[in-house]
Order: sequence, then structure tokens, then C-alpha cells
Amino acid sequence: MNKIQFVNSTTNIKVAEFISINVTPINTSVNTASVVTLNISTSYRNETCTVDLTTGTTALTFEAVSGLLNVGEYHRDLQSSSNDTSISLDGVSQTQIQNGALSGIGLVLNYNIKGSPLTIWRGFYDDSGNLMTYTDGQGRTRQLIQRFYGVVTSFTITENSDPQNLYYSIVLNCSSIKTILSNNVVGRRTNHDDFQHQTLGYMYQDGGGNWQLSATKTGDNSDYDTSMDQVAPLNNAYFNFGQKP
Amino acid sequence: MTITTTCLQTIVNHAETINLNRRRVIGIQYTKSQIANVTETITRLPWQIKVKNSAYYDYADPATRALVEQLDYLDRRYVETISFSNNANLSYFFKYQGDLTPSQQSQLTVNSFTGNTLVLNVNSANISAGRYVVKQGDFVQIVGFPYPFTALGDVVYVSGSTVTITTHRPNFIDPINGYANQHVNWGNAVEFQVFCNNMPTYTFVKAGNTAAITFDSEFQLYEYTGNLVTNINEVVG
Repeated sequence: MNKIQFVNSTTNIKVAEFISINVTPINTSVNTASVVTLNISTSYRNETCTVDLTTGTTALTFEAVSGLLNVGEYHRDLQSSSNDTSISLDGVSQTQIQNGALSGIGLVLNYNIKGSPLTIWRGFYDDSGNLMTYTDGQGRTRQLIQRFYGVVTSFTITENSDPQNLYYSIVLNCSSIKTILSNNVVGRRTNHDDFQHQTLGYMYQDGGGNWQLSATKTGDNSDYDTSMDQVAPLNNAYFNFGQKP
Repeated sequence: MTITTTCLQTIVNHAETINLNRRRVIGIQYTKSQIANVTETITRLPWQIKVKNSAYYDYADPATRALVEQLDYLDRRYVETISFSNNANLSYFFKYQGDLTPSQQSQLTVNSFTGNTLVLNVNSANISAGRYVVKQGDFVQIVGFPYPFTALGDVVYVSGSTVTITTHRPNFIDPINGYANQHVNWGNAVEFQVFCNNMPTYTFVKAGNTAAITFDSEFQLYEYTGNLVTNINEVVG
């Protein structure tokens, strides 16, 4: 786990959350190259940050005026754990975010939001309002610290109204990738075929030190669980442990 | 149909009291040893101005009818750009304290604005060394971008082609909007782009053959810091 240098020896911390969601338009196959990335933040201004899912070098631009209201609580444990969180969005956002009306109601009704992968980072600001950089454990200069990686499992649209006030808000419920992986193996029988049936993948740390699912790893197709591969050959093998070599 | 309003400006011009709220979004936790730990959510720090308007307006006056009609039109949905330089009775408010003459002020243009560091080109302003460009608390605002900033400290011109002002909040205007080389409004000439998030109702009080109108609460003006509003009265949100 990387040490967060900004929070050492200070009693004043300025933070903002940064979120990236990959979605596809409704009626579009998820396998086509139509994935649209929504990058939003709670920051006061648009930020172009040095974060990337694979290399840690590509910059993403996060929209500040995006209707992002709140990011729910998420836990950070010593070991990988399954936790959920939620993201609240303004239902009627004022701006069109990248590639069209990707905001508010339009986001959840026009795009396949369920199942969309989502990453949450946290950034720290200095007294001048500039995003601070830090050096991670691998010696890379970074600006954001990853806090959550998962998928959107559901969303709710809430309308609060009285005669004078009307509010729409959207809550995206998100499960961590560990929950998704756990669900894939629940009830799975212990044999080779069942282990091959599920495309599970595995978790690995990318060049930026972030945990990713192997499906995102370029050139790696070994997404099948290999745990049972040697069981059948071993089952019929005879070992004479007393035999002289 | 959209209309251009001046009603919030009228309310400001008739202000009896003005309350400024510049507080940041901050959370404070105290340890058992009473050490305070502070967390701040960095925001655009919008200006929040409460204007109390105790004056009675004569309903028979066509200007009053226009005023209430504009307020009703504006409601809580549209913005209006106001200034505190339109009324001689408010000329002290946000008054410029530096040494630059109006002519010199008009010469300075924006060089860069990153974080809370505003760098201005002196151009041909011919400022004498030792003169105050701004004093602590002075207002500056880039022309065309109605977001006022205040100077965190005195700035004395020494020499060179630029001067640097540290502002009370960081710049959130996207450079793509082209504020470079724009001129600057100073002191109470700065403009606030606000909407009234509580738009008070009003009461008619009979007064002979007419009625006096009084507003039922103060006006809470909230700076609109969303995407740049290019047309006055563009919808908020």
C-alpha cells in the first residue's frame, strides 16, 4: 500500500474525489468500440491528472461542473475486502460532459450504466488550490490515489418535491470488484469444467500500482481459473514414494 | 421570451443591511486532547450576499410594478449581474484602496491565472515604484468573467512588466474561455453574477389609494459559478 505523503504532519487537508466510469450507449454491444468514459470530480475546476489504468502516465481530464453531488462511504482495509459504495449525481445537470449529454438522467437512461466499471481516486490540494503530486512506492510521480475499483450494480432515481421545490437525484450503487469476483464463484462445483466455465480473471497491479482485473491487461488472455488444471492428471498418477531414484 | 432584468441591482441599491458569507466548506474534529483537525473540501467559494431591504415601495409607481414583475420573472432560476458601483450611497462598499489611477487600471491585462496566483501585465501603465497596485482586501475581476476575487495581501509595484496578486480563491475559469490579455475591473466596479435562492414573497400594505409593498425576508444572493453564462438571465442549473 502506497504511503500518502499529503496527510503526514498536517492538521489541514483539502481533498476532492475523482471518478471515472466507462459506459456504452443503449442498444450498442459492449464489445464494440463505443465505450464512452465519463470523468467527473468534486473539484472546483477541471483537472487533467496523471492517472491511468495501465501505464500510470496517460492524463485524464475530470469535469468539475458535472453534477456530482456526493461520494458515499467506502472502506479501506489492510487486506483486499468486499465493500460497496454509492455515488450521488444531480438529476438535471447543467452541462454536457464529453461526447454528448452524458450527465444526470441522460447518463442512466441512455447508457448501459449497470455493469459499468468505475474507479474512484482521491486528490489532495495545496493552499494555492493546486493539485499536489507525490511519489509512489515505485518511484512514479502521481497526482491521484486510487480508493475504489468496482462496477455499477444498480441505480435509483429520486424525486423530492413540494409545491415550491423540486429535486431530482440519481444514486449509482457500486460494488467492489472483489464482490463481483466472489459472486462468480458462489455455488461453483469443484471440478475442472466448472472452473473453466466462469471467466473470472485475476487481480494484478498495473504499472501505476493500481489493482486491476486481468481482463484489462493488454495481451493477456489467461482469464480462466487454472486452479483445477492439474487435478485430473494427478488423480490417475501413481507415486511410489519409497522407490529408489 | 427572455427579458433583461435590473431588479436585483435595484434591491442592492436600496439595501439597508448587507451580510457577506465567505465561509468555506470545512469539517473540524477535536481530539480528546482538544487538538483540532481540519478537513476542507476545496470549492469555488461562491459569494453569498444577504441583502435586507426594509424600504416600502409604492405600488402605484410604475417602477415598482416593473420591479416586482422582474423579481417574479427571475424567481430562483435566473441569474443577474450586479455591481456595487451603481449607487453613490454605496460608493464606499468594496472601494479600491490601491494607488493606481483609473487610467492606469485600464492598462493592466491578465498574463496568467493559475491556482490563486494572478499575474497581470503592466503594459504602458507607467506605475511608479513603491505604489500599491492593490491593498489587502481589494477586489479584482477579469472583464467578461463575472467572478470577483480579493487580494490576500498588499501588492507593491517594484519594477518589471508584470505584477502578481494572490487571490482569496483559486482560479476556476477554464483558460479555454480566453481570459488571457483581458482587462480587469477593480474595487467596487467588479461584477457579481448571482441568483436569489430564496426569492422572497411580498406583502401589500394598504396606504390610502395605493399600497406599499414590503418584502417578507431578506434576499439571499448566491454567486453562480457554473458554466459561463453568456446571456444575461440564462437559466441556472
